Amino acid sequence: MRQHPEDPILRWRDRPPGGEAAEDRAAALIRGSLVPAEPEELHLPRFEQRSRRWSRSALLPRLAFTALFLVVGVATVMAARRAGWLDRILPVAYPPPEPAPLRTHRPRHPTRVPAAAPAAVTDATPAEANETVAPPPGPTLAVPAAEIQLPRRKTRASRRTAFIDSPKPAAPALSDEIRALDQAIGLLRRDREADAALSTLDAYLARYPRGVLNREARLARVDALLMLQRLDEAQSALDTLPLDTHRRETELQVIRGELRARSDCARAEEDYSAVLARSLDAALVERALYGRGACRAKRGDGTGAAEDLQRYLERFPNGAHAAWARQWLEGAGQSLIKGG
Amino acid sequence: MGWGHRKSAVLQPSPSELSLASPSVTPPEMAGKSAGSVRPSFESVYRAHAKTVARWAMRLLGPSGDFEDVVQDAFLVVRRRLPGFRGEAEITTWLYEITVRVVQDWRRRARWWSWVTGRGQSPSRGQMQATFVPTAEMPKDPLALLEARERTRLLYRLLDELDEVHRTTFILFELDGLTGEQIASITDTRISTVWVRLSRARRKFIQRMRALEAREKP
Repeated sequence: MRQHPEDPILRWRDRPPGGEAAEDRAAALIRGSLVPAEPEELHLPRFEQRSRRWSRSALLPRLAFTALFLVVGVATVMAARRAGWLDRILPVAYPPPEPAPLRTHRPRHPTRVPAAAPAAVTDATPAEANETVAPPPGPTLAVPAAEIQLPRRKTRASRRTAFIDSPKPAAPALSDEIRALDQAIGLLRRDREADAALSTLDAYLARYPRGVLNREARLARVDALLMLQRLDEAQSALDTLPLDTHRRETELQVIRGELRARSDCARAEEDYSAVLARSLDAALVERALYGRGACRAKRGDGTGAAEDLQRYLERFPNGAHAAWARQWLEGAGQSLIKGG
Repeated sequence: MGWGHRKSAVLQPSPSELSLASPSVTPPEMAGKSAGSVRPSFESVYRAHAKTVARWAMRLLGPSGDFEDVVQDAFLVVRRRLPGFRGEAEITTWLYEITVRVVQDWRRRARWWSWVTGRGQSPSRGQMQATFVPTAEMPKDPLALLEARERTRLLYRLLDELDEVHRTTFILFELDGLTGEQIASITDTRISTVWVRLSRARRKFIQRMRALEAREKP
């Protein structure tokens, strides 16, 4: 091997002995090593044969790896879903129009307690509602009674949230409060004993008027009143209760709107509009959209009612009130054409 | 492009990678094999250069590597990249570049396999290990051959303790006899980087050798 004239470094094997001892030994090691033998002829058919065999043999491990990856991935997603992690990570996949996202946990088996909430809307005759935009006549146009939903049992996620959110029994007084409220909520949710629950809650509120769990107790009291069909009292209780943006409280705002709609559609509309502005929960949006449309129809706002009901049909073509909305819109359309 | 991206570079060459040294700096082993203004067919490249690539692979891998495996992988790359070969460089230089990178990839896989299995098993499919022979000037008696074989094993053992970059540079310069300019072209670096790497490789080689001697000293 000859040193290239442009290379500034001499190869070890070409260096004369007598320099650094370690480099001399390294040079001797290189000089005294064997070199690769001339390989045997590598024939092209052998290359092609090996290529085909390798491509076939590589297919099975790749498929196995892909299958394993899919199984592990699906198992992870399912586990995350069961543990409720996905609800925390991912937004609710409802489409707009409302901008503010709201994480919700819907009860699996909601108990539907029929209420005569929108009775005023139901009673509205076409003449009363609007002279120009009148609902079509006939019994089919009656607004169906709104349904007030109470959760029968808490979902896994809500139980966990309740556990996390529940205050720690640091002081004896708080422990007593928690015990008293737990008893009342157990009577209401587990035993469905609304009367007993209401008594317990009233006793609790009397004993702890400024209790830490006062708000929870008042919310439970509203549930009990609704269960007992004491709608006026429920409405009064809701009127004095500032409602937050949690799912249950948003639902209570819809219920309050439905209760108010019996006598005061203007205030009911406020509730419905507030819910529509922030909630992405389809069930609540459906109720609020229908309720606001019905209220606007009752108050003579034919255009607003038509907009709401049209939106309702677009989002919930098979909704509980879809048939009514269609009939109303057909009648409204005719009236609008007549009115120019 | 840095040295750490060599694997992808093998799969997707850039035009600059294909333009290598001029014929004047082509090493003796490479010279006159194929010049390239005409794009050759894969079959002709394989027939003309498979043995040469195998010899390079042997040198780069050492006595324990499966050179046939490397030749196979190298020519799979050649078949894939040949349509993009524009003949701006010596085809032998281009093949050398591919071989170097395939060898590095093979050694990475071998290390990974060794780490996973806990054994020194190579990821070879063929397990055809290279045969090393004495040079013309070496004595041919059995004892000298045995000593030479032990020196070769020791040489590659020391080389295997170097980083991949330093190991490759050391082999290309000290064992294969490439010039600094050729090594820079093959490894896609500046020539000054080659000298720096060679200097570090030598220093580490000496350190490893001294450490080994100290361990084996009675």
